[in-house]
Amino acid sequence: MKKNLVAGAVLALLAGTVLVACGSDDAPALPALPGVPFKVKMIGFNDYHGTLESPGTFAETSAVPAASRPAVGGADFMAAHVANLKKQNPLNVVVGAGDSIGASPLISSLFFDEPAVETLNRIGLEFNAVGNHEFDKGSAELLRLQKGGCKLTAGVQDPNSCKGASTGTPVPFEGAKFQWLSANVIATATGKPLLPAYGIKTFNGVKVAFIGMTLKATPTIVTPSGVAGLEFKDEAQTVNALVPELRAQGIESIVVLVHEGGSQTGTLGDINGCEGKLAGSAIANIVKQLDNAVDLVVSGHTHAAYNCMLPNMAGRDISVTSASSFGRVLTDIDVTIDPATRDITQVAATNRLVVRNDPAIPLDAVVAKIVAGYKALVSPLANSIIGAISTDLPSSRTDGACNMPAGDLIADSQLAATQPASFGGAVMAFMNGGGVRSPGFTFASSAAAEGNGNVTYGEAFTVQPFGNSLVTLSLTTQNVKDFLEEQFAGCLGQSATATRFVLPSAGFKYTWDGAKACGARISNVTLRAGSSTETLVDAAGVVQSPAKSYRVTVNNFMADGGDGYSTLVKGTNRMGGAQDIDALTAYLAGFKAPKAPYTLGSNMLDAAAPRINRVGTSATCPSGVNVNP
Amino acid sequence: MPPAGQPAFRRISCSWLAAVLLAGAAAGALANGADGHLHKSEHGGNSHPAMPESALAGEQAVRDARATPPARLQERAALLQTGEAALARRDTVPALNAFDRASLILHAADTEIALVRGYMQAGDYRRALSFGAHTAGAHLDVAGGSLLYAWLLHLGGQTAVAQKVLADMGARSPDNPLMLAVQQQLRSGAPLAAGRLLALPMRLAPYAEATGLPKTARTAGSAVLLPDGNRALVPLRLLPRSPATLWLRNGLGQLARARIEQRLPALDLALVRLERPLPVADEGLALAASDAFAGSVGFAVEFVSSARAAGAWPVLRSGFLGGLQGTRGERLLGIDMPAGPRGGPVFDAAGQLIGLALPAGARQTGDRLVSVSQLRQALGAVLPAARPVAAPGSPRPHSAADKIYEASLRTTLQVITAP
Repeated sequence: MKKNLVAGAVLALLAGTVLVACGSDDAPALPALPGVPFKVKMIGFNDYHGTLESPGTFAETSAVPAASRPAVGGADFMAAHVANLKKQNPLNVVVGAGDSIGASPLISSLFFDEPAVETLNRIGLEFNAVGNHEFDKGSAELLRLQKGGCKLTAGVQDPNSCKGASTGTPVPFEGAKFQWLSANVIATATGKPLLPAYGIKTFNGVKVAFIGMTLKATPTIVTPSGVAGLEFKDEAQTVNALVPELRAQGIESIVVLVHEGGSQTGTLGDINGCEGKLAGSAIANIVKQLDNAVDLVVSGHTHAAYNCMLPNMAGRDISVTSASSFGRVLTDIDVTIDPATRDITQVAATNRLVVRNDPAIPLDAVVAKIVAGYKALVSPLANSIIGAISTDLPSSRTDGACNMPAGDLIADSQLAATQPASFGGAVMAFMNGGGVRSPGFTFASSAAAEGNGNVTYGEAFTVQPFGNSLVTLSLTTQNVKDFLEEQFAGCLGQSATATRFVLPSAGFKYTWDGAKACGARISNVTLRAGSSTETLVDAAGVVQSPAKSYRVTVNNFMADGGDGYSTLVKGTNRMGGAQDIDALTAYLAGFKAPKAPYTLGSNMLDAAAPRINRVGTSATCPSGVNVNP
Repeated sequence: MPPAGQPAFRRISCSWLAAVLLAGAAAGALANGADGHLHKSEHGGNSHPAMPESALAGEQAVRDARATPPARLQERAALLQTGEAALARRDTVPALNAFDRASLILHAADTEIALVRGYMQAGDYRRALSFGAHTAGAHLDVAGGSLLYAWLLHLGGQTAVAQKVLADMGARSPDNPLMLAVQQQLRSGAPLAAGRLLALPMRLAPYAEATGLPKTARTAGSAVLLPDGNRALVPLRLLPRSPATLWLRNGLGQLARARIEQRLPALDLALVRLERPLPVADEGLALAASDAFAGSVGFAVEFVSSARAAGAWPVLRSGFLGGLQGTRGERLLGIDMPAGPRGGPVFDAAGQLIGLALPAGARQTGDRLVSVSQLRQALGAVLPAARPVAAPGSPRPHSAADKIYEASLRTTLQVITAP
């Protein structure tokens, strides 16, 4: 039995070594004097639990009055503090002692803790022990978080996985850039550690090993399905069995990252204290059994902060640290390495608060953006149904005349929002085609399971993501004609390489002829209101009543001349209005069950002909230099 | 977390049970002034169906305890008792301090649940929600953690996630009576914590001041605290016949008697003055510069009306604001709400007050929104100046729903009346 165990451990170690070798990293070498000891900065933390946002205030001890405790934590400031510490020494490494995921706030848990991993990647974590909570969702899920890829639910991608398009992170989910370590977690099917037993990083040519593990009692505090097929070995025995293997590789500097801990006596909780020396605690018992080769133990699990020197098997006091939880504290550890012996000769650890009010350490903007992205996604409104459609309304041009069903719907919504006199008194609206984002509105239910035909707020936002506001302005008939003529490449100030067709609201129709000259391509412009139809431009292209004024709604991008529609800048009596997404939401509410869904072409104002008509039979809508393909 | 010594379990679970019962008695006397009795601990947990919930918390605590000396565990129990008593007095600083110190002795569910309630009592919803998530996830075998988390999620508008938390718990413990009771309340759309749901350790309501409230006092509906903290807007139809029997209480359990200062019949509202100011939201209460557009995001917050005047946390519901209706041009609220007397504030996506919700009027089909422009017209200088309007096309200010809910714990008031 013992022999088999040892053999298994050796196999496990070999496997770990190979895996680690693939991911090992050499720190930039400093111009150190040969044989002169040098320092490496190790930055440790534990029990992050996907706490992307600040968990509140915290202080060095519980004696600090509540009102004097600074706000701490948050992934954005963790990243900033880690970067600040790393600046102090290019020879550095960031390590964790487990429970990085699991039992996490909604902002992380709703997305299967992908946000926790993505933020830890950018905080700079390199080696991380598994904790008991890494197994909350089972080993297969832990391996997915390590390797990347989207979460599958019932065989299809879960709608709350791989949200990088909204948060600025890679799609599919990138997986952990750090290495989870599980020296004492053995997959019973293979007899090998589920994940590498240790990682190695080289500093000035000296290898430092980081052995990672969780508490052996993990199966007693995790649901059985989470630890199925796994065996959890004794912590100290696992470490000690690895020591010869590491030494065989020339490694003398050995750090243990273990998700097990203790608590100080008393209730002061000094983050740099060690009251009672953690007497009787699980971590003290583990350290007491550790081989003298181990130089430093970064621990966790109890959410306590302490900074201890505890006796190992040989009676030598070694540094044992823990950094509270939820990203409130970082342990700043300066270790001195003697290159002659390749061993750690000195450890100086300090627990530091991750304060959010140090002007010298501003937040990490990249991480803050990711957190903000997930914060927006966690909104309870994202999957709210706002209306229904009876068929796909794509954001692509569906004919040679350049009609676009999604654009029609949006233009209709913008007209509806600005028709009342108090909101602009508009009689027509135009939507720029480039502002209608892919894929438009799809009839089939999305992964959010809202049901066929239903449109969710999230889907609408995907089509209208820019947050443009509506502007209603007065244009003359001549202005309207000129504006439509500006759609063609190189014409009336339009880009020489882009042809851009706007989408008009229901009741507005026009015809274009790409074979004609610039400024003479638009004809048959009509506006129908109720049963009466008014002609703005006749079949010959002659503007009727050129000075007559109309109230026209566009978005603020167009109103300011965007997309080359410079005539719109001439619009007078401007009135700002709702955001485009508000107008769309309000309009679709009129088509929400039990009301009939929005149906393309069902508006009586759309009868007889499409909104945009073309002379000729080409089925190709122009978008570039050639205005008449 | 290896098994603990059984003797320690026996001693400490009893000690903690005694502590919470003592604290519960004190709390009940203070908090349940309207009904004035202590509710028994509830049954829960799969492995010990007959064991009180509070005792289960104690069991978990001891399983965590391992080699923690009995004296330390007794110290911890005393701290929990001290904290609970302070919390019952709504004295959150010493309460949280005691709970914090207890947490330094042992990482355990009971302490964490107490901390979550302490954060809520202090009005720190976001912290409570974040830590509540951890408590629920880290202590699956203690029902109170998951139930408190689900309750808080629901209050803040995360109803689907709350149901998911309950469903997960139901899969682990399908017959847990506490879970079933919470499920029933949340599904009702108007959740009220009473009876077993007020038992420690989870206690799904704040400790609330009840000084001066008669036994017949009831929660008539909701009101909005104005930015000066001295005045509030109350729906006319909620006013009691006797002007001396009107009280307002916030989500932190702070109570103030109120008297009518001005009736605003055109708005179906009354301006009332509080006998003592109530605290306003940390960042103040900002009023929108103009009326919100139809289709824009809105958050409506209100208290559940009840025949009792027990303390409670308000409920937030999100949706999209309605448009104009009828010849008078009244605004539809647009946000789906269960039938009720309304009166609570409505916020936009930036967390600015955009009005107040009222029930449908005659010949109307949905709840109304008394808009901020109507309030300004009627109240003028009583209301503060608006923030500058953002330029067209500039990013719209955005405030997360949990932050809006946190502010609304102070802005939304229970209207308490007595016949």
